[in-house]
Amino acid sequence: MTILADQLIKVDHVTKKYGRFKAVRDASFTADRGEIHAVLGPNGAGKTTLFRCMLGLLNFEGSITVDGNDVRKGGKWIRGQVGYLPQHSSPYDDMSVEANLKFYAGLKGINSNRVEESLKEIRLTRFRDRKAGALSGGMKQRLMLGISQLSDPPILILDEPTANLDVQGQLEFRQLLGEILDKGKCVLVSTHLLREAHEIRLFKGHVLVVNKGRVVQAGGVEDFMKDAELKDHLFIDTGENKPDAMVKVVRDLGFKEAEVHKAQIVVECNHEEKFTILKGLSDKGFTPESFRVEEPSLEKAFMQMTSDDLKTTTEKVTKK
Amino acid sequence: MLPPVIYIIRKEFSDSIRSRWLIAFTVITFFLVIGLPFVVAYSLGLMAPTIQTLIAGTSEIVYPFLPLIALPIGSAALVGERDRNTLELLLSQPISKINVFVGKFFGMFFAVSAAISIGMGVAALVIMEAPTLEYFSVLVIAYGLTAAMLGLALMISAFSKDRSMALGIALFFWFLFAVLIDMGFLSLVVTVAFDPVYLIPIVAINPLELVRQITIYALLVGEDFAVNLATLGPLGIAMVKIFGAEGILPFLYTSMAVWILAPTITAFVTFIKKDI
Repeated sequence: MTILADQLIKVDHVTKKYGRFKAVRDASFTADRGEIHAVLGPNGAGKTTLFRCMLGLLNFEGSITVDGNDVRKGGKWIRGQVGYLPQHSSPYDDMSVEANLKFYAGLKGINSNRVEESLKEIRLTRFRDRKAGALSGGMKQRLMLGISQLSDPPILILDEPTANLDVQGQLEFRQLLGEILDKGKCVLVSTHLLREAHEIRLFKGHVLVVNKGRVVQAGGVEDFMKDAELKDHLFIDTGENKPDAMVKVVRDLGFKEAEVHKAQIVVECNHEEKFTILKGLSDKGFTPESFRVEEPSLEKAFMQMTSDDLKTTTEKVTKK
Repeated sequence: MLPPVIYIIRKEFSDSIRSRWLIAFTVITFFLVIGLPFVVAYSLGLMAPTIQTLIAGTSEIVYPFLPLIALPIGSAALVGERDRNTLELLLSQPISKINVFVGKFFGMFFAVSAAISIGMGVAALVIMEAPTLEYFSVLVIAYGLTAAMLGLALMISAFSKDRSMALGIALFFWFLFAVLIDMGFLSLVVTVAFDPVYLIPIVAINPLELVRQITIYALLVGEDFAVNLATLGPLGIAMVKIFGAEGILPFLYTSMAVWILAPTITAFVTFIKKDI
């Protein structure tokens, strides 16, 4: 694997227009070696366009560098550093699994011995002679992943890798992907499925939220949750205590939104504030039977981000 | 390791050579060459075809079919990758678009040339009493026509939105060259109504007519053809008048070179500049 300097990818004020339509608007972010970025956004948000710009497959405004090399000038070199798994592309259906791997190994300048290893890695050795067109969706996607990994590139870009797979295919693919994610590469994975992002452990890393062509959030998961300004939900079981009396205490502590729901008090609060609430209750002689904390879900944060963005866009249009 | 362009040439050659279309036309070309000159020869009361008969027969009967090999294959080359969703994966490799274009052009060119060599060359060897290298010139002219048609087909492919559109446009061009322009109607109108000099642009805009004229002036008529102008017809007389006897072949070669280069360069620039 080629050793590259830090701040591997730098996307700086990138805009991509198709006629008058802006598919990507002034997008900026960075990604470093060893980082995993979940690129989130609804369908049509501009994730694929952004990836294609990063590979030098599209003309765009702004600048993109990979390890200091400008995509416009060094696109060929950059594509050698990136294993790309496109969403809307496929291997050659009329060629066998092995022939596909050998062809792409040739294009990447890789020795054909690597093909044998790759077949093992993607668990397709048994199907080496089968035409790619005759593979199941999951096997075909594994072949695509194998092609992207032939040169063991330091960067991996996966565009909606499980979007078109059935449940079995998704499970197999995620298992394989998990092994690759453990190798410490710089990985960008786009998905519109937050559940999937959880399952493939993307949220150990960074989040890049793209909506309507704009990067509306780029940073760590913690920052993402913080910026979404979502609070924890504290559920306190009242037990033998009177719920109304308890909720009054909580409200007196400044948590006006506290509510009684069945035998529970539900309070929306920040991470640190839950100790203040529990101590305040204890000081007034209420000992909760038990309590649990529900942290804000990524779905909620994502919805908040994209709906705020939508609101801003609407406001701008209205002002015009 | 081989350069990436070699892998693309190899793949394109192997895809094209296995195409049923190419195989069918190789067989058709073989039978056209092997059969029709005999018919021509016997109809003229000759016992066996001479090399001149073979060349003339090939030029008149086989050349018009050659674009039907290159045009459909070439027209699917670029737009077909897009249609089959293989283009993005291909272009995301550490290669340039130049590699892809050059690889595709030469891969197809070698495949179609191989088909022509087998179809025409083998048939010629079979029917010639004494094999002669003279017929090789006919093959070279056919390769030139193939290069021009592939350039045109790639240009169509680069501009088209899908394969069926590209194929439709490609077949229209064959119809234009082989039937509409070539049916003699235009020539007749020009000869009757205007100065025969106006026939020259009609030749220049039709690569099929160009290769036929190249065959005539390079292989069939002798060096002293200008002495007996009456045998050349109105077009020959007009060309001698404009270019002189020595200028005809350079004019024809230059026109053919333009036919090879102009569409190929246009296709190349369009492909390079176009987003995937």
